[in-house]
Amino acid sequence: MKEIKNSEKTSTNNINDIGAKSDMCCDHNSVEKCCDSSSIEQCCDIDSINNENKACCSSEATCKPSYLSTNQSNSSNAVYLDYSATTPCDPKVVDAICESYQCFGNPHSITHQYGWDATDLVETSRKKIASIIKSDSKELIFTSGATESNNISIQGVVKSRQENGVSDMHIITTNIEHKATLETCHELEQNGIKVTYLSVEANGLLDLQKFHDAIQKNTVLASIGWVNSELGTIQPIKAIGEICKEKGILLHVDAAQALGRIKIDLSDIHVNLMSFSAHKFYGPKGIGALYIKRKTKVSPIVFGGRQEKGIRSGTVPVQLCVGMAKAAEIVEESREDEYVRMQRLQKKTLDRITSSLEDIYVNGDLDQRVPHNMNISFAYIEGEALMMKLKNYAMSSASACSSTTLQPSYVLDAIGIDENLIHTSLRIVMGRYTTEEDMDNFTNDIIKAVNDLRDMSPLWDMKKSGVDLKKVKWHTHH
Amino acid sequence: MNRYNEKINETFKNPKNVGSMDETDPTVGVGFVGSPGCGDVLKIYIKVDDEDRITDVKFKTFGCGSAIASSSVLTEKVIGLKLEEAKKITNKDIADELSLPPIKTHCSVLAEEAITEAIADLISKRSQQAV
Repeated sequence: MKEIKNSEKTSTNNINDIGAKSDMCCDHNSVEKCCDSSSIEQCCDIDSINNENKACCSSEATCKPSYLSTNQSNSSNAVYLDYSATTPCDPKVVDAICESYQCFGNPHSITHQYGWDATDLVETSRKKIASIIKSDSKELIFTSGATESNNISIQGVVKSRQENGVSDMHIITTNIEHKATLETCHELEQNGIKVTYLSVEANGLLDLQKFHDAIQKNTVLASIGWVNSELGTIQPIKAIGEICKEKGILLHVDAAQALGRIKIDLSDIHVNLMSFSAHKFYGPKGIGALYIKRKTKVSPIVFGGRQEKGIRSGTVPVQLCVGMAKAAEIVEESREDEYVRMQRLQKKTLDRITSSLEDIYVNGDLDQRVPHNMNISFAYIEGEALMMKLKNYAMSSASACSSTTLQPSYVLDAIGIDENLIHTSLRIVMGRYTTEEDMDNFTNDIIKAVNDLRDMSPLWDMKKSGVDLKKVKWHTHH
Repeated sequence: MNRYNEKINETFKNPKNVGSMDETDPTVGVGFVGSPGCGDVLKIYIKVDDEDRITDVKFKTFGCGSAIASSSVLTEKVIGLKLEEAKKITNKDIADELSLPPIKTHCSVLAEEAITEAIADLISKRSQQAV
């Protein structure tokens, strides 16, 4: 590593510069070229990043990163259809992160230029993200991701009340939330906090009247996920916010799956706390954010240097902040076009699958849903086996057999999907780098795979000969 | 999906003896075990000659990759065996052959139950005929 001279440092410490340079470098055929420029020489000393980005091409948002190969003959480079689990980091985001390593200072060092430069990067990043979600940057703190944001929100609100002498508290959430919410609530229950896990309807959506009726005198907080990670269903957050406002309770929204997929306008909705996670929108892993509306009282649950308004102690990861902001910027730019493209691909895929195969069930509401998601039960065949037939595609299954605990999906169970069908379900989630050709091939392949597996399924034979599987007396062995 | 070994992957990809037989045939024994709620159902058919030798085996399975691979291995193991020999096959034989991960042991248990039930079914059919 060469020594950073002041002149270089000051020329690269502005995040806007970094964004602009990053775009420029991606106009070249490879990052290698851009790395010839002396300004980011250092970042290119990082071999892995250098190698990974050789295929980085045009400045198009749809430029496929080299790590997402389309070479279908190689199962280790399967077509990625698991964008709810995570997304590949955009090469332009990787570039921006690399460049920001020029600035190594600790943003909490307030006595010298290195620290001030780092602070500038963090604050510029914060402002970018805040403006995308239409909030004030003072209302946004950086965290390690949505799990931490959810924990701070739920535990922090409870703790703040406890510190003010309130002990009898009630929280409302739903039975399809992410584990980061459910497990936090379970933990609080151990400490005497009452929690209602509201059942959602069969389409995965929350009934507003039921939500309204669940609010009690001692209810302090509702925690609702905006877009469900398994179903892609979109909860009516604006209406939920109105109810919370009317009833005087706080609303926390887990928006990890929402940013980049649907419009988030915090000036238009009544939400007190909102969680975000960068790796769900083509940013780096290990960083997220928490929106905390002005005057919302949240106590810290981690202690240290009192960074991030004292709510989240710990050195702010400057580079990840830069990456998150860049990713948010890119995803927001293309959000509306992507939504339309996803709608078209989803419709085409579902139309072909449902017209070619019998006994196909799409789980969760089809309208109030991000079009990226298709959660489908392929009756009479098991989800894991279906994925094994489709080795050229990376997906996830709700089947017990594909989980490490042998427990089937609690989300599908919660919306009343028959246990027999849960095992047959796949979650197919498209994203920025999914092409129409990918989905055309996928559709052909899945139709063939389902037919092949049904040919060897005794349940399919029974169905065809008119046997009602519900009336069969089964021998259970475990 | 589990990260399976090549043996399981290969067997799943090219399973042997998939099919069915006429269940009313008195020389055919059927084993039908598992449940859709548990995620796996195995149906095995054995055709047995007068000397108690299994001359043909077929299976159909609803289940994960391990369940299908276990079914296929079972059919290959029992074909050509005398009923008394087939009875001695245990889940461990199948699990070992496929190096099943521990979490998938139940797939091999299901296979053992299936052959046991198929033999019992055949014997029961024979005794009914004898009456």
